[in-house]
Amino acid sequence: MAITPGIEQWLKDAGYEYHCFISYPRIRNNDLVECAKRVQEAIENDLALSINNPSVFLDDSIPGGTLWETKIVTALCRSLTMVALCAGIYYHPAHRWCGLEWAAMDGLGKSRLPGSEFRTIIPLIVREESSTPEAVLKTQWIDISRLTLQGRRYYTTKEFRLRIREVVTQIERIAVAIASQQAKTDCQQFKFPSTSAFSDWLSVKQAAPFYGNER
Amino acid sequence: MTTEEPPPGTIITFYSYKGGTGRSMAVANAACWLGRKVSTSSRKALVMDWDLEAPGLHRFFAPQVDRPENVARPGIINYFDALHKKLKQNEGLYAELVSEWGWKVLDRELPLDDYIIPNVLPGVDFIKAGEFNAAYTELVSAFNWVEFYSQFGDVIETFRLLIVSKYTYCLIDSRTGFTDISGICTMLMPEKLITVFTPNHQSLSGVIDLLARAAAYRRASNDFRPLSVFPLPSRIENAELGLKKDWRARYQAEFEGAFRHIYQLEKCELSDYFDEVQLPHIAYYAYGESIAMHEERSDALSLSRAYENFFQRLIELDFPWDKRVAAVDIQEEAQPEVTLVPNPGGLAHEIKRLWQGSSRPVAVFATLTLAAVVAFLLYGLLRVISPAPPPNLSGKVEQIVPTRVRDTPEVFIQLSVVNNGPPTTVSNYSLQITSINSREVDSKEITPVEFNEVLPVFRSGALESITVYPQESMIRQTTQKVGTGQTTRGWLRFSIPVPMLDPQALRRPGLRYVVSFADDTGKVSYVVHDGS
Repeated sequence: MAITPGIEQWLKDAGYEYHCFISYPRIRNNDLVECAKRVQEAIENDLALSINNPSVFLDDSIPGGTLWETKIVTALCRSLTMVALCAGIYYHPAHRWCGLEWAAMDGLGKSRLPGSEFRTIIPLIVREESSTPEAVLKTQWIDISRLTLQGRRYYTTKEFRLRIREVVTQIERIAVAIASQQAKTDCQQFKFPSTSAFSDWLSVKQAAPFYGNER
Repeated sequence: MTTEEPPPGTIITFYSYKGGTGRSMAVANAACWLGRKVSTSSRKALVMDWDLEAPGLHRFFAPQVDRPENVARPGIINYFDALHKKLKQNEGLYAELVSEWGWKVLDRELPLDDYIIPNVLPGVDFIKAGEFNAAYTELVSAFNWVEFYSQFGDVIETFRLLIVSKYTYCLIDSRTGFTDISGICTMLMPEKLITVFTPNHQSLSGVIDLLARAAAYRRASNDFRPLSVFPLPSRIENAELGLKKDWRARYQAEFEGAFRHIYQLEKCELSDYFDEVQLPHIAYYAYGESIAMHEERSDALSLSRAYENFFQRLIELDFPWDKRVAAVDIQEEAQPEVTLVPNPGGLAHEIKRLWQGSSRPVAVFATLTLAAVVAFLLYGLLRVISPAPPPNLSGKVEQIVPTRVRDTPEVFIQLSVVNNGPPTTVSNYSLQITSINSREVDSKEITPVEFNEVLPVFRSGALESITVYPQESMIRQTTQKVGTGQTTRGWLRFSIPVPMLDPQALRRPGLRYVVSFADDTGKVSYVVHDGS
């Protein structure tokens, strides 16, 4: 289900700036930002086979001096879909912004595609978590946790490209569904939620790295 | 972390399930090899002996380790003991250490340099297991790693971030078996895990079990680094060819199966890897602590060459089944430098001296040699300054027809090729599709597939039946020589490795199709088409 030039133009006119918004938790080293950049790059490259100038939002390039909260909220509202890089810490209260972004996009998806089989959130499982929140379990996810173990250049593998193709196919389906519903962005009316989608989630501490005690 | 920070180094753990596999020797040789690689850069290689119960790595670096200033130098166990005490004394310290810049705080609180024995080999620093005094054994047995982890677990990540900020490569000699320390060494610390094993059941099944558990732990952790595992068969006895062959088949199959499962691979082929990677048993190294890379000349059958083969792959490749082996130039350092231009003035003087002397045949030979060298150099110079002639083959894309065959997108390309040179076959057809409108250029190289059936194709969004007969295959036609001035027209069929791609997307404006092919001399011609 490709995005035709006509659909692409309609989406632009309806206020959609990004085909996808990437949501991920910030950690104290660059490993997850690197992963987010690879996913962004791969989605853009794959989308470029069917549309001109694909655009995927990642918050690492917000210029200094920008009100980042406003920028993120606006970008989220102007996105067709959200790819969530899921791992245990994504759901953790210490990374509350992830839960807020999930709740926000979930709300946008429900209002833009009422009664549809589609959700506008695509969970990309980067690390497995035994106590996955209900909200995530209900959505069909795509698992890249085994692939990202392979090596630093996992993003060059055929298997990774195939998973990204699944993501892009879903983005294309959602884009077509939104256009067929004539659902405009209407960001003036958009209210960013104050409660995390994972507020009732119970964290399970990871087992110690000692043989016999590990999960 | 700011963009000014150099990229973090790589932690590589060497693990064996049983002792006596040559694991510590492999670590020492890796240190020697990597030290040479990084000796001119600002960040060196670090080696750490985490085999706390049976330390021995320091023996390989005896000249430096035994110096008076290093004998009483503390090591790994002393570092963590001191850290544990500091954390218990200062309640606010833990929060500081697990913050974004915690590794800098850690280095200020407990300077790593106090534990380092510098330059045990060129480009290599070393942290021994501990200060080997009367209290060592008691300290090792009293330190409770489980308790330390349960109270201050994240500080081990801080230690990891500290060492990778200072060193390009950090090598860990791990404890054997399934122990607390081997858990830290194999689950928490490494990005690359070397499993050293000898060809026997215990050694092999132990490492297979461990690597599966270490990978499962990483997959469920909040550590987003990869964990790539490189098996290293060690002490391979070449005298028993039958057993060697049987065991090779057995361990290769075991690792292929384990990797398929761990990394979710459709297939995993380790034949090429294990053809190159195996450490022979050499009796000389059974005695004492010698570093082969340090002592030995690297000839084809030497232990140092076997290590080189492995270390090149370890550093260059992401995973053992990686087919980018071509990028690994094993002979790189062994190649002698060839000087093509001797001192011409000096040579001419020598020849003049020979003509003046009594050795006339030698003088004739030397003169002819000089003339040949000059002619060769002139020929080379002309080749360099004159532009390369255009390829004899040129072509034109007549039609591009995207389609789908059993869930796989394919592209049929009708091509005409003109030969302006001597008769030649045409081969090595390939296709690259490039998107010129995206910020990042995407390209997919596709290997042509021969026809074996007649297929329906899409055209203008509708299904039509363009019949493309097998005899119209370009590949089939151009296996015969194409004569001078002759034109050949035929179809090429390329499968596209993107299963769910809508074939219509391949019609999008802005895509560029580049078809390439080669003549008998290997000269490549390119034809560019906009895909419309």
